[in-house]
Amino acid sequence: MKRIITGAILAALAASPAAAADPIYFHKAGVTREAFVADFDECAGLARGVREHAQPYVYSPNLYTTLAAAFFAGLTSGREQRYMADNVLRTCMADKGYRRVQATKAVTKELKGLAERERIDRLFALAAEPEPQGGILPR
Amino acid sequence: MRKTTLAFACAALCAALPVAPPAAAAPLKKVPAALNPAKAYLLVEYRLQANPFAGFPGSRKTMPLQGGLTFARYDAAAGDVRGLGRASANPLAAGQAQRELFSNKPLAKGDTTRLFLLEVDPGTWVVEGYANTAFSLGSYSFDLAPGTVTDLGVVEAERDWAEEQRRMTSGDVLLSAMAGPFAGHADMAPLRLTFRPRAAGDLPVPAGLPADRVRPVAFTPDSKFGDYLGGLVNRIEGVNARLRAEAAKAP
Repeated sequence: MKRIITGAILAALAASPAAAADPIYFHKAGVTREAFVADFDECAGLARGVREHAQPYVYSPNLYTTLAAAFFAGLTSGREQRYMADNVLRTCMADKGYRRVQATKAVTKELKGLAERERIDRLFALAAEPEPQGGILPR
Repeated sequence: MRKTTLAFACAALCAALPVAPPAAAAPLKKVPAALNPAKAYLLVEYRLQANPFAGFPGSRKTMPLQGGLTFARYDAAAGDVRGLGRASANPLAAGQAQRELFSNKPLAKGDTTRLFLLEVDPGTWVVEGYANTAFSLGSYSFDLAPGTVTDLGVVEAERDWAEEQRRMTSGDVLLSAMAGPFAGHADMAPLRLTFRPRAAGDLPVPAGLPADRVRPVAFTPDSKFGDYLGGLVNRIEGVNARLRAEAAKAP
């Protein structure tokens, strides 16, 4: 169970489209570990429910055009799904009173170097701090 | 050997055959001559969204109704859609539809409104979603009694924009069309809904419905469930709308 939750947290942190270049984490001063894990597990579960939606298909007799269209359709489809999952996570965590925080480079580097268990401990510690480490992002 | 081959062929054929889902009740395009005592009826009026590009010459004033309400059977005790997630131990009987997807077949049309009448199975239902948004964070559930018409009133949908997000302008649309797949991603927002009782000026309850069988809906708020529609999620009243209202109240 813990492995699933940790995986969800890391996936959200790494796979979030906004986080691809600038990772974020969620902050709620004084939150308990149990509440943080339960909230994130629920929100990550909802984000995992996002599915790829069928793209409109336009027929072309030209093979190169078809290949190019398929390439770009795949590119935009994957991006759309990531944006939707990010939006679900953002809305759900905002509903539970969390703020999104731009993770500093030091925090990002530190998290990458941690093992699974230590990483979730650190994410919780960051979430529960009285003041966030990094700039607060719009809700 | 031949029997084994035949068994495999039969299994493969059975697997390939599409399994027919339970027949979903289509919206009624006419008021039935008599209410089916084994069924329940839902009456709801949609207020059409304004066209944000109505200023362009020749543009329509309202958006076409491309998406609408999705209703699902709900287990209030388990807190999920019946047969799924926390309510997986409470599936529906064979032949009963788990959800009622939107189908654009109105009973009556106004200038900016559409009136729908649905025939469904009685029981507890929840407003599962609207277009691409599931109200998994908190929605309205309600009970439908057999042989009655429950009036949900008038529903209006709008985008629930987060802080510093906005809808596309005509300039954004033009730039996006020119850049194609290399265009920046437009902001996206889940929908939120407002239900209000039917009032003067709305489409009236159809005359053919027995007045003594029509009753206003009694919503139970904060009904939660998983994201089974695969799109965005929200609270039915809007998470961002609530946060904006709280921020406006704060000193």
